Amino acid sequence: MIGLLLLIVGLAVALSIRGIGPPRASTPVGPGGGWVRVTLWWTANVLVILLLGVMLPLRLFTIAALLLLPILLPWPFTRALLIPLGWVRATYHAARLSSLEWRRDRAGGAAFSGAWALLRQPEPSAADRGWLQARIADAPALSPAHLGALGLLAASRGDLEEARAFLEAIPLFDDRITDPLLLQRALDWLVADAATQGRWARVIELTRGATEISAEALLVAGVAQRVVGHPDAPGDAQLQILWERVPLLRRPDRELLARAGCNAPSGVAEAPPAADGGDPLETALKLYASLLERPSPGGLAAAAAAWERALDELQPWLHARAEQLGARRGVPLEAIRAEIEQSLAAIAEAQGLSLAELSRGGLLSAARDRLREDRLSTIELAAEGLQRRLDAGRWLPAADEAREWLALARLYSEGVRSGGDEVRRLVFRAVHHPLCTLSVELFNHRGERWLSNAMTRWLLIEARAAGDLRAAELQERNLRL
Amino acid sequence: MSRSRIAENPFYVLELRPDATAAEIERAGQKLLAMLEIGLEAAASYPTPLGGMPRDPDQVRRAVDELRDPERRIVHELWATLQPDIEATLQLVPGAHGERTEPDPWPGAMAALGWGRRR
Repeated sequence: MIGLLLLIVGLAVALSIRGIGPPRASTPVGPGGGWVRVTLWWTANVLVILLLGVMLPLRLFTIAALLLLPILLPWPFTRALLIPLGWVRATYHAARLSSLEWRRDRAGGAAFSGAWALLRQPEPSAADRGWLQARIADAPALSPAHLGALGLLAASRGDLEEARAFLEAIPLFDDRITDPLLLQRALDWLVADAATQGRWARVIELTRGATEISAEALLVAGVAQRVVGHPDAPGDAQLQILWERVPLLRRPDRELLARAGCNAPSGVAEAPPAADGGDPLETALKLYASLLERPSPGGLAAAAAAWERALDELQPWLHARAEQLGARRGVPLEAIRAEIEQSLAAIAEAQGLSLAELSRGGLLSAARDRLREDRLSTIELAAEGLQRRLDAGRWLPAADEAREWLALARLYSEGVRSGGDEVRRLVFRAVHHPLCTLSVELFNHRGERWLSNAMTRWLLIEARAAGDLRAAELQERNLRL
Repeated sequence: MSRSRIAENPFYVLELRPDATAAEIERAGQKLLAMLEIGLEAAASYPTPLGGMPRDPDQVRRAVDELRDPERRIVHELWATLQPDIEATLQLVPGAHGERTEPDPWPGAMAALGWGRRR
């Protein structure tokens, strides 16, 4: 009997360890055979428990079951104990045993879980971070879970921009290598990040249409809908249900529900402030000061219109003051206009407001043109820089190549967001060539097929959006490889 | 840039209106420097339409210097048109008095949602 038990335990451990090694990197598809291994693993677990139950008295059985818990139920043990304790290395090793949750990419899932534990430390340890980075660097190919882990490591350093870029890129990877748990947890982090900053509209955007979504994210999305006054916002009872659906140990305080109930409905924040019919300069400055404090598309349009009126009447005042004060050079109105244009463009850029939609002539048009030119040249310079590096054959580690791709993709998205389809068409050709070259190199010579696959998918989506049929056809062919 | 045009405007720093004379500017500068030197709390900040801002001696010296140049003074006069009174600035904005018009950030979101240590 003892021999049989040892055999089954050995089988269970062997099944678990098999697949702990590096995933087969030559294909964008995961290690494969996942369900067979999982079934065998759970069958072995049940047999072990049954045998222990038969062989041991109750007290010893309880002790043995507790001791075997990390092996029998590695993920619940990791999620409930190791991650909250911030034990990075223990989390990493326990998560590698989690053949159900990280079925498609256990090595990547372990790195992601370890990085999650790192975030739970009071002060993320540099030694643990370095240790995890070394595990990720050892992987034969960068998987979406590795990318997610790098994103969480960036967050632990305080680099939230990079964390967002990496975690937002995860859905671009092939489904067959991306575990649902990874999609869910990446979305959770992005939702928490947006809520931290009060970007409630972003929370709604992130969760809209998400297939893998946790109870926490659903709750925060409901709160976000309430906060912005969304027409589909849940009522009090529905919100309470969403709150109760979050497992007890992970449930946020009721403060979150109070937050959902105490905000003004939407439309108020977006409504442009009314003009007071007084001095145009004073009105423009009031609206401008309000815009600095509470940026909104309506506020931007109102401030721009008020400045337009104020600048029309400013020239005589500038002349008069220059004479009174003996300012021989005077103050050119154009310099003031340019400063205001620049400032409005900067506010629009910082707040992610689309100047393409807002532009109604005058100052906003000028601000839009200024912003568009800046962005176009920034994107073109970045794309040219990447192309020069690729032409010179200077290749970077996979994580840095992903960083370069996502940095360029972010510039591109910001340009498109503020400039609309006109900018998309202009810049797509600029970014397509270097990114396609990079994707092909990663696929053909670097064994980074998962990363290459994600880049190709991004290029295909953008080629279709930009109406570039040739590029779309090329990327469709690449994706089929 | 234009935020600092208001928040760090020399007229607001010196707590003067744009029609102040050169002598008033010099006197205000001297008075504020003396107050800051002996650590008077009243001199440690100044009101602007964007709220109260901290004030230090360097800022006062720079403000006086800026207003000695007539061209630069004209630009500062333009940006200091508003009374440094936050209520006056916000009276046009719906909801500025009491009710909230912008959603608040949720600083504890990361910890509450399991991405940081709970306090």
